[in-house]
Amino acid sequence: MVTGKELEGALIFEQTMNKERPLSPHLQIYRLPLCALLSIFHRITGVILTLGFLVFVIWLYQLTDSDYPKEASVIFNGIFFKILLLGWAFAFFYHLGNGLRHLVWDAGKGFEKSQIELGGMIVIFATLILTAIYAFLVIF
Amino acid sequence: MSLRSPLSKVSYLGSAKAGFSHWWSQRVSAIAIALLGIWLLIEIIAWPNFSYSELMSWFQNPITAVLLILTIISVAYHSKLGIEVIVEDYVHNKGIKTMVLVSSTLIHLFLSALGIFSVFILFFGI
Ligand code: HEM
Repeated sequence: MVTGKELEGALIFEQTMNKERPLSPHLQIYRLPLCALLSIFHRITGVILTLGFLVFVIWLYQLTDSDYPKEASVIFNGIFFKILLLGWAFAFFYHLGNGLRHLVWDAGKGFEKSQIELGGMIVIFATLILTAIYAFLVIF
Repeated sequence: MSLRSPLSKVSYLGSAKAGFSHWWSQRVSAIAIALLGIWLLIEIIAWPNFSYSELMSWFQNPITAVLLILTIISVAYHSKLGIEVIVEDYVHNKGIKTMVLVSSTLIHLFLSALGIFSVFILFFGI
């Protein structure tokens, strides 16, 4: 037998719980901790690098075409190419740094909260500094 | 101690499928690209004027050709493994997932073949 109380409970449950609620964590509201941001950024840069690989192979192939105008082959002398190259270098440096962090974790080390935060900071600064140095070398 | 049930063992389910070798290959290829990628970035800034003839003589150096081929192989492999993980995380429909994974594998294979072949052509100056 279903008691009145149970029925009432079920009704309240229906009304309150069965709505289409967003699932936690509410990504639009919740500010991701640094660690989570760095993690998703590893994935994003991985995809960017995959696209970079695609462009790189197309570029190699296009260079083999002797009918292709020589000036167009050196399109990468232009500002457009330099921006692409720097974008790729930025993604590469980040992915490299964070990838090395992954390798340290895989060796079973660096799991203290303070070490995780320090590692994240090192990766951010290393990425910015390496990209800045590379930008300097590419532009000048 | 194993956390896998006898049933999963006899039916070849669970953690002892291809997970370890996938994970390991991703690490080994990562180390290869770390070295090769830095080499390539340094080479690029070493072309003083980014000119066509400069570029062609670069391609005709055997060390360049070999390292480029190694770069293409390791990046394609690492990228294929990485995209696989991402697809498995976000695509839940079994049919679509299989289709995307097969396409990704074939595209990666095609790109590596095209890249390696192009390096050969540029090396021999055909
Ligand atoms: C152009 C070169 C590269 C491409 C195209 C690339 C691409 C990718 C992709 C798509 C993923 C999957 C991301 C994910 O699962 O969230 C990945 C993961 C990974 N990459 Fe790379 N990557 C490159 C270079 C590197 C380098 C230089 C390292 C150096 C250490 C590295 C280390 C890693 C590691 C450790 C993972 C696994 C992360 C995990 O288990 O969550 N990658 N990469």
